[in-house]
Formats: sequence, structure tokens, C-alpha cells
Amino acid sequence: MSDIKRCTRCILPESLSNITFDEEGICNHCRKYEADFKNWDSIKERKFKEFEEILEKAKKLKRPYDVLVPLSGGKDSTYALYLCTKIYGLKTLAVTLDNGFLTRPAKDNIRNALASCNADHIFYSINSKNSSELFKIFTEKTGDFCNACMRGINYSIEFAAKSFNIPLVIKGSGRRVQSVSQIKEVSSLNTASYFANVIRGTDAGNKFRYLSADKNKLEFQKIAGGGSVIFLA
Amino acid sequence: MRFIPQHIGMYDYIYLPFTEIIDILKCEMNWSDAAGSVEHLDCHLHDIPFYKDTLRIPYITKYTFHSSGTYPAGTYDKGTGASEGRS
Repeated sequence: MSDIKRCTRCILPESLSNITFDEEGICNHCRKYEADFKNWDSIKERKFKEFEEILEKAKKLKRPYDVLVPLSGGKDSTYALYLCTKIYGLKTLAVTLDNGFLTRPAKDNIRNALASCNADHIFYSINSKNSSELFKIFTEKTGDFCNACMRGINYSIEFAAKSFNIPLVIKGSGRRVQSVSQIKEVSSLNTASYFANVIRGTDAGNKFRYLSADKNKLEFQKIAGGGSVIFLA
Repeated sequence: MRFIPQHIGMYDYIYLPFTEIIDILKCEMNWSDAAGSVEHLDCHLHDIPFYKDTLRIPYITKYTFHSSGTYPAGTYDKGTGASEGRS
């Protein structure tokens, strides 16, 4: 293993199919990150201002909730909840999808976080017998089951946002901290259309068809580097 | 006025090193890292896709992508990786 060439910065190995190294031994993924975010210090104040402007626009709509926060109990989503409730005082609805395998520590964190702020919460739990059936089909047909879960998460977000007419969804994510997940070898699809095609003709087809609602529409939850806010008159 | 729900990633606008975030969460939200891991503590099945990567890609351990991803976050350097023996 010691003979394998690795990025001198991030240690990714040359066994990745799309990796290249420059004369300094730094990989293309590190260079891309550098190109995308090297100016962060010079733009962070502007991005922060943009963030606050987005929140203000959402608040001015005076909907039942200003913002929806998908909450898994991990650090990132809990921090999003903290910002929305305790820093910005937004009327916040959190939504959690339990895929049947949500851990006890995560459930404890969710309970503690909600007790520490004033957010309301929707907890949508899929019975592990059902999710196991779905994961089995995904694994057999695609070799991967995480996409099934991601579709469930996205569905729960869509459901909550639509039910309460919530203008803004703030996720504990972002390109700046997810550069690795954009590497081809570890990235994956989770569109409703993909989900629908995988379950078609299977026993789970009827049971989980609702998760592929709006399968012909592109999903809005794709993170696009903090792209522009969509306000339509 | 029609308002299409906008999805944004918090870290595209506000960024703190996760070590600082964890300090805030422990203090303000009674958050715990439970088993000592702050990454993906939410799913019992979380190790499986990482294990699958180790089968698919030579010279990958279940820690490789995580370690690599922490470099941009400013919380990783080669010395740390070597001392952990996780690369």
C-alpha cells in the first residue's frame, strides 16, 4: 500500500479513476476546491449578507413557518436549527426522516435540540421492515441503497414544505464542506425519476410509489453553490 | 406573489470549522457526539457504503474519503492522517 501514489495534500490515491496530479503532487480535486473557494475570505461577508437577506425575505412573507430545517441529529443539521432559532429567531419547522435505522444518539440529539429551542417538529418514521425491503431491492438492482433513503428524506422535505407553505429550506450542507462527495466515484443519483425506475415491477413498487411523486420534475433541493434565490411574481 | 421554496446549503453562506460548531452545539443545544464520532452518527447503516467503497476502489479504507474531506475544512493534515494510520 505504501507504493501507491497519493495527493500530497489530501491523501486521495491514484486508484481513483478520475484523479490527476500536478507537478507538486496535488490532485485535481484539491485544485478544483482551491479554484472554487480560494476567494472565500474576500466574499464571506457578502455571502453572509446574502444569507441574512434571504432570511428577511422569507420572514416578510409571514407564513406559518419562515423556514424548514431537515434534522437528522447530526452536527450540521443541528447547527442549522441553532442558527435559525437561536440566532435569527425564525419560525422554524424541523423535519426528520427515520429510515428505520436512526441511531439512539441521533434521537437523543434531536430531542435535546428541540428542547433547547422553540422549533416545531415532524418526525416521519418508516418501519424498518419496510425500509429493509426497499433497501434490499435497491441493493439488488443498483448495488446501492443510500439513494432510496435520500429519496425518502427529500420526500419528507417536499411534503413538509408544501403542507405548510414554507418558503425556505435550510440544509446543514454546502459545497464548501462536501467537496469529496462531488468526486465521481462517491457521488450518486437520488432523483424521483431514478427511484421510480428502480422500484418499477418490484414488490415495493406499490408500497413506495408515493416517494417518486413529481418524478418528471427536476428537484429543487440540488445544492448549486448557494445559487440565487427564486422569487417569482 | 408566488414563492417557490428555495433550498440552500447553510455552509455556502456561513462557514465555521466544525470543531467550533461542535463547541457551540454542546453548549447551546445539549448536543452529544455519543460514541466519540462527530460524523454520520445518525444512521446504523452508515458504515456500509464506506465499506462498499473499500471493495470497489483499490487503496481505499473506510476513512479515506472522510480524511480527505477534512483537509479543505482545515482540520486535517498529513501528519494527523499518518498518526491515525487511517490513510
